[in-house]
Amino acid sequence: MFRDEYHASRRMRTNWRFAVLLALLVQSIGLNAQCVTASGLHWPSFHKHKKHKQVHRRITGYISKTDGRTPFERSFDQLVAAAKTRDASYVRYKNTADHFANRRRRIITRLADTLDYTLMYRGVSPSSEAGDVILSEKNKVKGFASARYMQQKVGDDLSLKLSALTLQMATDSGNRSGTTSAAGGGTAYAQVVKLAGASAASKMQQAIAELPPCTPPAGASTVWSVTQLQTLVDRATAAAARRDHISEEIRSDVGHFAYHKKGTEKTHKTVRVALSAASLSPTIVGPACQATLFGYLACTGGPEQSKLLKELYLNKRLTGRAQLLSEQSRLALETYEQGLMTGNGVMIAAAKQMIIHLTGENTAQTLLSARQGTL
Amino acid sequence: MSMTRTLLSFMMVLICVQSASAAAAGSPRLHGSIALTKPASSQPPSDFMTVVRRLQNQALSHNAKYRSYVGQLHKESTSKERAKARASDMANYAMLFKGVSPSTEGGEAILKAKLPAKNVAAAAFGKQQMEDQVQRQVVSQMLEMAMGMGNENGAGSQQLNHADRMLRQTAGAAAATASAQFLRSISNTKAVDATGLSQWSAQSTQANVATAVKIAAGRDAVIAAIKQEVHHYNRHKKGALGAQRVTRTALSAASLTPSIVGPVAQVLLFGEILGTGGTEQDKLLKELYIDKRLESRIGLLTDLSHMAIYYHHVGVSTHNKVLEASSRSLLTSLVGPTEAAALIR
Repeated sequence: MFRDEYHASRRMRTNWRFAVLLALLVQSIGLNAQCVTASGLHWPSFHKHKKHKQVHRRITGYISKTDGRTPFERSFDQLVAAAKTRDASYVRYKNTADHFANRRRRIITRLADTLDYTLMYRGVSPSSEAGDVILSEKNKVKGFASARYMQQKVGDDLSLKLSALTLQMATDSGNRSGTTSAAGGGTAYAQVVKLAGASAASKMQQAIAELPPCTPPAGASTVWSVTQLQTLVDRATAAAARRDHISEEIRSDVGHFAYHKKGTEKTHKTVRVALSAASLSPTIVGPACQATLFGYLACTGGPEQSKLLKELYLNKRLTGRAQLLSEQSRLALETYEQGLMTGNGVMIAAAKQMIIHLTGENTAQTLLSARQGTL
Repeated sequence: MSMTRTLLSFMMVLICVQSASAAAAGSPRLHGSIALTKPASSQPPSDFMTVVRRLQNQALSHNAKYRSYVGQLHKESTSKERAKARASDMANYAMLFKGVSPSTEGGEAILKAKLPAKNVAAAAFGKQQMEDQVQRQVVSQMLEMAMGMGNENGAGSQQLNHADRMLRQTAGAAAATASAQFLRSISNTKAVDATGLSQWSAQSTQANVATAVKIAAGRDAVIAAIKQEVHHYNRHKKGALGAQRVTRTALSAASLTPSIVGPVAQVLLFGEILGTGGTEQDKLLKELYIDKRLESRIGLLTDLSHMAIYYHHVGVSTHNKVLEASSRSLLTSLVGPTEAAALIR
C-alpha cells in the first residue's frame, strides 16, 4: 500500500515539474501570465493581442491562509518548540545534523563509505556501531543519520513530558477541590516553566483556561472496557501516524531504499556482478574494474552496508515516533476517561483537544463517541 | 477430583556421568545421579504472567502463521542451512549478485511490507512479533474479565461475557475457565480501601510507566536474550577491532595489485571475512531484525505497564477488588513486589 503512495507522490512531483516547465514555455511564447501581487493573488490573465481590439480580462481574488489549528493546539506546538530551543542537547544535536546535512559533507561521507567498501578500513565498526545504537549503550554522533536520530530522540522525550504536563495542568485547573498534584518537586505549571519558559507556559495555561469546559454526565463510571480502550489507542496511534509529518518524512526516506522497479534491481545486479567478476582479473583490468565499481557505487547511493546502517537509524526514529504517538494517545484517552469519571470538565476538554491534535477533528469525534459495546 | 487440588509430584533423573576414559582398564569411573523433585502446588499459579503465558501458548498453538514461523526458524537454524546462508553471503561479497536487495529487504522490513521467506532473523522477528501481539491481547482480555467480575453494576456481566467470549476465541474454552478461576483466586475478600488514593495524574502516570518499563526490561528474559545476541556484534576489545581494521585494510590494498598478488589477497580476505562472522552488510541486516524484535518487546512492556498502573487506579477508585488485585498482580509480575508496591502506593 505504501509502495503505491510512494510512487504516486513521485508521479505528482514529476507532474509538477512538467507543469512548471509548461508554464515557462507558455510565458516564453508571448502569453502574459500575471502572478501574485502584494495585495492578493491575481490569477493568470491572458492578453489576447489582435490588430485593433484588445480583450483584457482580470480575475481578482484573495487567499486567506489558516492552519486549521485550535488555540490549544497552537499553544501546545509553541510549547514544544520553545522547550526544544531551550534544551541544550537538542540544539547541539540539531546543529550537528545541520552540519552533516550540507552537500559538501554528504559527498565526503559518501566517498568515505565507498572507500570503506574498497579498503575495509573500518573493520567491524559498522556492525559494532549498530549494536550500540540498538541497545542505546553508546550514543556517538558519527554522521547525519545518528545526529538526526539523537535530535529526534531528545525532541520526542520532551514532547511526551510536555503532553503529560499539559494534561496535568488541565487536571489541576479543573480540579474542584483546588488541590494540585506535586510530582517531581513542583506543580505541573512550574515544571512546564522550567522546560519551556514562562512565556510559552503562560500561553498554554491561558489556552487551557479558555477551553469551553465539557459537562460530564452525572455519576459516570468507566467509559470504556479494557479491550475497547486498547482498540481506541491503536486506532488513535494509527491515525496520528498518518498525520504526523515526521513519520511521513521517515517513511519517505525508507521508501527511497525499499522501492525499486524490477528492471532497476536487475540492472544493478547485472552491472555489479559483471564489474566484480572482471575485478578478479590478475591484469590491469582488475584494478580498473574496481575503480569503476567504486564510482558506480558512489553514484548509486553508496555500498549496501552504509545503506543498512542508515536504515537502522531510520527504523529507530520511526519506532521511537510510533512509541511517542502511542503513549500520547493512551495518556489523552485515559485522561479523558478519568475526566468523565471525576467530573472534571477542563480535564475532559483538554484531553479532547489533545486527541484532536493527534488524530484530527473527525477521527477524534469518532473515537470519543465510541461507547461500550460499539467497538 | 479438582485438578487444582491434586498433588502431583514427579522425579527426573537427569544425568548419568560416565568418564570418557572408561574404556581404559582400571581407570576410575564416576557414577552419579541428580534427582529433582518438584511438588506441584495445590493452589493455582499466583503469578499473573504465568497464567498469561499459558494462555498465550494455547492461543499460539492453534495459529497457523505462528507455526509456519516456528517451522521456518527450526529449518533455517540447522547448521546446513546456516552454512548455506553464510556461503551465499560470501558469494555476494565476491560477486555482488544481490545488487541492492539487502537494503530493499531492510526497507521493506521497516515499513512492514513483507518478511522474506528464507531468513532466520526475519523468522525470529515474525515469531516474536506474533507472541507479543497475542500476549497483549490476552492480558487486556484477562483484565477485562477482572473488570467485569468485580463490577457490581449492570455493565459488569456484559463485560464478563464479552471477555469470556474473546478469551475462548483466543485460547480455547478450558483456558478461559482457568483464567476466570485464577482471577477469583487472587482477588482478596476484603473491600478495596480508597481513602488514601490520590487523584489521577497524567504526569505521575507517565513517570511511573517509564520507571516500570525500565525495571521490567531489566527483568525480562526475552530482552536478556536479545541483548546477548547484540553483544555478539558490539562487545569487541579495542585490540580486536584494531587488528581487524589493519588486516582488512592491508588485504584490500594488496588485492588492488595488478598481478597474481591481487587475487591471492582477495582469496585471503574472503577467508578472513568468512572466519569472522560474515560480511558487515549481512550482520547489519541481522541487527536490523534484532532491533525490530527489541522494539516489539519494549512496546509490549510499555503497554502492559500502562495497563497495570492505570487499571490499578481504576480498580481502587471504583472499588473493583478483582480489577485492583489483577492489575497489582500484573505489575508485580513485571517489576517485582517491592517496586510494584512503590509504584502503586
